[in-house]
Amino acid sequence: MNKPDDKILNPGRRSFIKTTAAGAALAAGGGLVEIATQEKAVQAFAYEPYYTDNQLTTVVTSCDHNCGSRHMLVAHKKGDVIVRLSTDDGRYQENGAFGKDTVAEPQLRACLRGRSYRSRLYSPERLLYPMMRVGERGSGKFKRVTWDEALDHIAKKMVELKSKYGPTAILDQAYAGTSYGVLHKSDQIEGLLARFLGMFGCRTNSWSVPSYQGTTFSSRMTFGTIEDGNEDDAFAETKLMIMWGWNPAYTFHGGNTFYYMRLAKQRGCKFVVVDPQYTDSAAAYDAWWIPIRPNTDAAMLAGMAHYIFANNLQDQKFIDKFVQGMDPGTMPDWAKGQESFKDYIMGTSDGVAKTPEWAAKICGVPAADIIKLADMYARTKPAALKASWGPGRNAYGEQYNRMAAALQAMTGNIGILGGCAEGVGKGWHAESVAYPYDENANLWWASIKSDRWAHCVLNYPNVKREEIGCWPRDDALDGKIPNIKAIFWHGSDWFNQLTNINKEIEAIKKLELVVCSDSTITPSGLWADVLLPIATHFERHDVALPWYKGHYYIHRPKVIEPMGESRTDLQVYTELAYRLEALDPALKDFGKRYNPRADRSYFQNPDATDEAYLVAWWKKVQDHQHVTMSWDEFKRRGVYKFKFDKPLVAFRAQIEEGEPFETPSGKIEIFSTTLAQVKDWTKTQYGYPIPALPKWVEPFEWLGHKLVAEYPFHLITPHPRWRTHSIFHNIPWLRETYQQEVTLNASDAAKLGIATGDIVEVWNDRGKVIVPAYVTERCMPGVAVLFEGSWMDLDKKGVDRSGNPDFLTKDEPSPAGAFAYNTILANIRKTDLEHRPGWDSQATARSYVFRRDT
Amino acid sequence: MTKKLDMKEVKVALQRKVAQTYEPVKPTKQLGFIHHNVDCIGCRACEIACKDKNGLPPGPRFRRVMYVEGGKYPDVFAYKVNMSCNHCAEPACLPTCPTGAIWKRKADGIVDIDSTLCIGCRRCEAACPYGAPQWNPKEQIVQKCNMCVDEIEAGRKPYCVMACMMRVLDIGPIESLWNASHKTTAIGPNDTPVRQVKNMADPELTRPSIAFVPHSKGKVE
Amino acid sequence: MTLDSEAAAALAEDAATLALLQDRELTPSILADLRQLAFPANLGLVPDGEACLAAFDLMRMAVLSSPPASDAGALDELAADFAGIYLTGAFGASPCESYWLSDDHLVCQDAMFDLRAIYAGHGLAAPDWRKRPDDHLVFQLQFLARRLEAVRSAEDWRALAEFMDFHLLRWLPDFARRVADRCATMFYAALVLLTDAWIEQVRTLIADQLGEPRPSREEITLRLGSRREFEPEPVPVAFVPGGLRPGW
Repeated sequence: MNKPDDKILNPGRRSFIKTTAAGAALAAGGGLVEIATQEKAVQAFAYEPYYTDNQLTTVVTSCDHNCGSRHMLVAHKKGDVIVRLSTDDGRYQENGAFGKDTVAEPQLRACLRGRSYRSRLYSPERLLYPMMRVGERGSGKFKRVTWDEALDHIAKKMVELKSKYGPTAILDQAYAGTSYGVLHKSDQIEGLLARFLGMFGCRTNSWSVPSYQGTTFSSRMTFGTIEDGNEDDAFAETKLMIMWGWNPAYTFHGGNTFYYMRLAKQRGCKFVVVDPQYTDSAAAYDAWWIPIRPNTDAAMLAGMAHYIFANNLQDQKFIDKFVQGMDPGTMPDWAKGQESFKDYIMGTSDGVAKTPEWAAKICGVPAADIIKLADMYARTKPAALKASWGPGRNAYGEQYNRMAAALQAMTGNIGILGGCAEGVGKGWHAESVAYPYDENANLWWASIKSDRWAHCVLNYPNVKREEIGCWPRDDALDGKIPNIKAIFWHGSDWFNQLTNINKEIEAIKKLELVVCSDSTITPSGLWADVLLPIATHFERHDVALPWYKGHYYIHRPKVIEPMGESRTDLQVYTELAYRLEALDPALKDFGKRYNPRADRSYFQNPDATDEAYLVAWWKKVQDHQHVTMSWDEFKRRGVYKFKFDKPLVAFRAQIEEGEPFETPSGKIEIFSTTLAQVKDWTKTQYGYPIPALPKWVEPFEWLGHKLVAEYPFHLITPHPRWRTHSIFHNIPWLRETYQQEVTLNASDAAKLGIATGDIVEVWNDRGKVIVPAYVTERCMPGVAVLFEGSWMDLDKKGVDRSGNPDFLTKDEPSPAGAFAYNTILANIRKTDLEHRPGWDSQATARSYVFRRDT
Repeated sequence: MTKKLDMKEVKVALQRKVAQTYEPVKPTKQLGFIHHNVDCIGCRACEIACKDKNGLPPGPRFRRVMYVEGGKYPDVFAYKVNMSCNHCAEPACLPTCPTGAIWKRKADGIVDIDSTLCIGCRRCEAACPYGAPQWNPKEQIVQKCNMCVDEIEAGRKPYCVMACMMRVLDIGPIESLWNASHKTTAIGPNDTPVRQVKNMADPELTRPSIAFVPHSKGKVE
Repeated sequence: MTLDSEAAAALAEDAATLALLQDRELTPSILADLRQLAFPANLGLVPDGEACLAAFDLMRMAVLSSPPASDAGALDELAADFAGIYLTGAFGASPCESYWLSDDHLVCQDAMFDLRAIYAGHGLAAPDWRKRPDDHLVFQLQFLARRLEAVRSAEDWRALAEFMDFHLLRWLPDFARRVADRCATMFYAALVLLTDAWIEQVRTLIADQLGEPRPSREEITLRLGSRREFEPEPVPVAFVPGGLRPGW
């Protein structure tokens, strides 16, 4: 047992620490430090008790992503570590109590993603240090650098790029993915990055919104505004709810909307779901399911319009009073004799009557069903046609929304409780700006359709302005093709999320600077040159406003101090502004002008400045929105819920009191004044003609296209439930509840010999992905479904093993800028290639779907 | 080395076992869950809330949302059956536990496992007709839903109930849930709760304290 | 006595060295010094047993083939590997105990608080737990070094053994194995395997020293589960629950 000493101890030992310079230097810094000794020597191990809520500190905050909603999260802390989360239970608001959950003041309950947030906060995969790329772009190899190194590198490169390539060299690809509050605002058009790059003097803006550009265009043209929505409580009041391409059971779209719809259902409301899938929304609302071929929605709506006109079921009084261009009698004087909507529908102008039979051939819905739905919609008062955003994400997607708006108008279901005028559907107007905001909010020297950047980079300078949708300018830069040499990502994972990823990969290789700001290393981040660690919304002070529907504010204190070396985006851009002004004398006072309430110390101490911005913002809330609660009271409670006498419905003032719509004519424009007067489409941001009326236009890929011979499946790419786009993909609790899989109709799968769980290849000439199959009767034949947002994982041959459908989408946005996310023809077959879900698969707990035959 | 059997001792032990009966605890007011199988959107917020609260690794799920679908395109149907532990009146798990770790509370009938006594033999897991006990491979013990007793004792409700975005999950006195006299958002104005849905084990086995508002295709005749 | 104060001091140096090498990125001068010392031949511990000898040998080879100052690319590779192992969790193997021992595989969990209490009992603390949590491998190795320096009696050795059993040894083998399997450079694969082997052997030496065999995994689990040291103080709830109000 007792060994001689030199069998244990090395006689030749030499201290690394004492005998080397390096060792001594290391020993000096870092490491455990001495503190005053505690009285009691603690045992080596202490049993971990289970903390009940009453033993922890409670802090109200909210979630923060671009999901479709904004709900409360309540953090329970031990010291400065969050031990668990709960959600609104009714006691935090004024006159609140545990369990209070009323129609007027519902609880703001968080979804499964928000509930999993602790996993995101304390994930070992958090990005906590600035990092810089070593090796090839896209290889994912980064080494840690200091903030100084990272920021100085970026600042230097920015000055170089601007001087060498001009003011369009930097492409702004910010999005609302994270950092979405009134202060720490990541926004595509006017957020913190926009302000920073704009004031720096080098910015190409990405103007089309992936989520809903087609819909936005339609709302603007038809109603003059995107605030064409009802508040969520209005949805309890309808008798007929047509959910067109809308699946709130997955997207939690709109606060408590889906809960209010349950109330409507209990009151006898009937539901119809028009969707290629029998979604969970169809099941929960016991809806009449109308399976429809993807991208044919405008045709079916036209067929419905025909039925309504042919049977004189339209609300002619409403049309005559409020609508322009619905029929010859409502055409404007300057366009008398031109084609009206009725002319188009009845075929008097082009010789093709858009009958239900005509529509049935296109959309695959039997004419009898089209007639039945049209009849129901025309006769039920009030009825809500919620034409949601998904079907607008396709080639000519704006026509679908425009056609839906025509139906809403012809039945008079606008501006009334129980009706619906929604395209975009923004309802209550929140006080949304606490961040520094002035004439520098959206400066740009080129502005392009967001998913055409790769085309621009790969073909520069041989690019026509209409190919990339250049937004017009009043100066010499109008139509000038941007020379893009850099990308900044802020609250966005766009490299993983835009169309045609393989093309993006080609393009990004040509860039000279790629900067990604995020709290984890996303797939986009893997392609960056510099990674900047951003504090999550639990680690910065802000206020949450509802993302889509709902009327409340949720206070977001700094629940915990920032982890690692992370900083907020506002801190990062402010500090960069100070460094840039040192490099370029023309940028005098850039730091101060960018962030007026801060000074140089902001990078280390943001609290006082953030508080100042928020106090000023709350004052605006009090003034504009007649709120009497003090800022301190709001902070103490954590939430302020607005109560209204009656549910907010868009355009009530217009319909009930004769206020004009915000359109050129002051009316609802089915015949668009703006569009009818365009002379040269290439000089507009659209690039290509858009009819002044809603029209059915054939998409470049669909089940009626001859390409079906080679690619027989129409693939759609809806939003998943277990991720917010690509956010939360790496959270184990969420991953074990779902599977990235392609949904196939059972008879289609049988023909291909595919069963649930088989790994398949999905491909077209743009790319190939590998993913397991889910075979079901709940999907229509000819259609396949693959949820967007999976973190791309390329193998050596360029095949994506994670199942990201954006390898298959085409970067051919509609004239209005709608992303063609749902316009895909593809083929499918079994494969022996492996699917890589990106995590260690758990044998248990994967959600299982039980099939029953009766 | 096997012990030499003392037949006299064995006979006495056998008689003792045969003579033992299990007298189930009769709670003052049995609490139970109710779930609306149709209005549930299957979002899993309840599952994740529970996992977060109980600090579970991926793997064990105290609450399990089960998807059921059927029919043939386009006449399809779908609904969800959501169960955690049914806190049975005569739990099958309780008598199987060799250390007595499983016990039923007198006040409210909640069945709980004392983790300090659990040796991880997994007999309860095998006995339960509903899959409630969950094996935790990290801790090498079995755990399950305890209706968040700490929340109940604080005057609140379980995390899953408070998480439900459609308000289709609730707890209440089980008798009142079954006869729909308990006021809860889980039961709509036209709904009739039942004690059993299709493909669920016979309630006569363990008398689970669970109520469902069933889908028409999920009803048991 | 085989493990006397001279041995303890030498082992303390070893532990401190292993900590320092995993504390931050390797620089050319560190690598030059390691080569010059013929690391790990300069360590106080003499490797014993197949696994330990293999680990020492692998480290020796890794040091011999480590890049010179002129090879910026290879040095960047090492820095990227360091980042992947110790900073971003790229290999699914965090250097923090919480990740391995907490139910939800997250960092900053109970293990961090436990170690904070242990360090505090000896007058030590992690300077900024948000940058590096208390349960990080480097801090545990540094703590080990300090305790080794202060060892005087059998009781001290026993306490040290308990610390290793209840903390480091419960997760270090898994960490080392996974990192060695997945990381990109031979140097770091060798370093984590060396650290694991070194800890294992020291623990065995202590067991021999005390004449008390190393407890089995089951015994450790039992001892962990049966001790309730303290109940936390209830914190007044910020919002009074109140009674139940009617719902919808």
